[in-house]
This record gives sequence, structure tokens and C-alpha cells, in this order.
Amino acid sequence: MKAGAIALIQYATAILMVFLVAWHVAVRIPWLYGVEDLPSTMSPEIIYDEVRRFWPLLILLSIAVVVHGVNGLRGILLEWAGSNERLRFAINILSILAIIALLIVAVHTIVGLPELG
Amino acid sequence: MERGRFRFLENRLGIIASLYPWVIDIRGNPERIAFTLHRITGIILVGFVAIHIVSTNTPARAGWEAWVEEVQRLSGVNPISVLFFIAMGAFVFHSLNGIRLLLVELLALGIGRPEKPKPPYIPPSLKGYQRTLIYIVFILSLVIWALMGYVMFLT
Repeated sequence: MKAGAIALIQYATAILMVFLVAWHVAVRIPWLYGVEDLPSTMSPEIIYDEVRRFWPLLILLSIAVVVHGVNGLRGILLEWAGSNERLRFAINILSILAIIALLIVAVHTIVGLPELG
Repeated sequence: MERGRFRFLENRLGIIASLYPWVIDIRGNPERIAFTLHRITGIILVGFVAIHIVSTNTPARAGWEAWVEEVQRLSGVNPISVLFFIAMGAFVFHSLNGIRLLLVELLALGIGRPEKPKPPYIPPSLKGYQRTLIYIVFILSLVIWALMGYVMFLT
């Protein structure tokens, strides 16, 4: 993939995240649920309901965050690697593996969510 | 080498060169400070996101009881909640500065129009309002981070 295309992915995921991360953080405001503190906004009932209702947004958020984050770190590491081709290759492969691994865990969080007891 | 308001650094090789984008000409240069902070907060956030994804997997991996225990670690002042607070600070700055970068780099807002160089050779980007945006990002980040601290530790 060309460097320009990767930069475009970085911008596109950033634009997506402006909305998705704002929503993800906003739903942790205690007063929305009439509770007093941050941990209370993460009770099993609230999280279960949130994942069941908004799972497509959570998947999209995971993809945007993981791709943007790992790609950003990859850019910094490539700058440090200079023209060492073997190091550059290793950084690229490890980045792809990190994206795949984190997305598998993220998808498992949603797919494997247990029923409330 | 220094010429007026702007400094020009010689090309250097080796490991120090790889640090140059981070530390180059930081005095009186809020753009570079924002750039460096954006990188540092970005690295913090990659670590945070990885931990966050693994930790939110707890219900699927170990059940709801384990999740309740995990969430309780964010109560009060303890190493986990302090690290979470630091990550939130990184998140706030990185997001606001990211929005500024989208406006400036993608939409070319606040950087002025291209013009022929003429004395005193002040780049049009320094005459636009992009620098004001940086100061707004710095101040807003601190305010929102303080509000987050209030929600985390004082409610």
C-alpha cells in the first residue's frame, strides 16, 4: 500500500473517531444514568445493554482506534528505523499482526458477551 | 544557525537524528510542542487502547463477577485510577489536537494563502489563526482534563 493511501486511512479513521470516541466517552458521564460515580456507569446491566444495542458502533470504533493507533506508532517506528529494510519489514509485519490480534479480542468481547445472570 | 525568529538546523546522522523531529527548535514554537505532545500522547494511547481492549474483554473471558471487580479498581485514588487519569489526559490532548490537525492539514484552515516570499520573510502560516488554535487546544485540554479528574476522584 502506498504511503499516501496509509495517510488517507489515518485521516479517515481520525474523522470517524471524532464522533465515535466522543460518544464512547460521553456515555460514561455519571449524571446520564443518575448515578454518582464513574464505576457505577459501568455496571453489568448498563454495559450489557450498551453492547447489545450499539455493537456495530463498537466494532467500527474498535477498527478505527486500532488501525489509527497502530498505524501511527508504525509511522514513528519507521522514522526511527531509517533505511534499514529488514527493520522496516519487521515493523510492518508486527503492525499488521497487532491490528489483527487486537481486533480479534475486540470482536470476542462483543460476540462472547455472557447473558446477565 | 539562527536567522531572526527562525532557526535552521544542520543535517545530522545517527540515533540523535531520529529524535530530531521531537526536539527540533522547540523554543517559541508551539507547533513543535504540539507535535511532540501529539506523539507522546499517541504512544501512551496505543498502550492504553491495547490494555482497554483486553480489560473490556473480561466479561467474555471471565464473567460478570470479574468485570465488577475490575471496574471497582477505578474507585478512589489508587495506581490504576491514576494511570487511567493520565491516559485520559493524553486522550483529551490527542483528540483536541487531532481535530486541530484535521482543520489545518486537511481543510487548510488558519494557515493563510500562499504568497511570494518578501522581507521580513514571515511565512503566511504564522500570520493565520492556526497558532491561536494551538493555544485554544492547550487551554481546553487542561480544562477538560481537570473536569475528568473531578468526575473520577471527587464524585
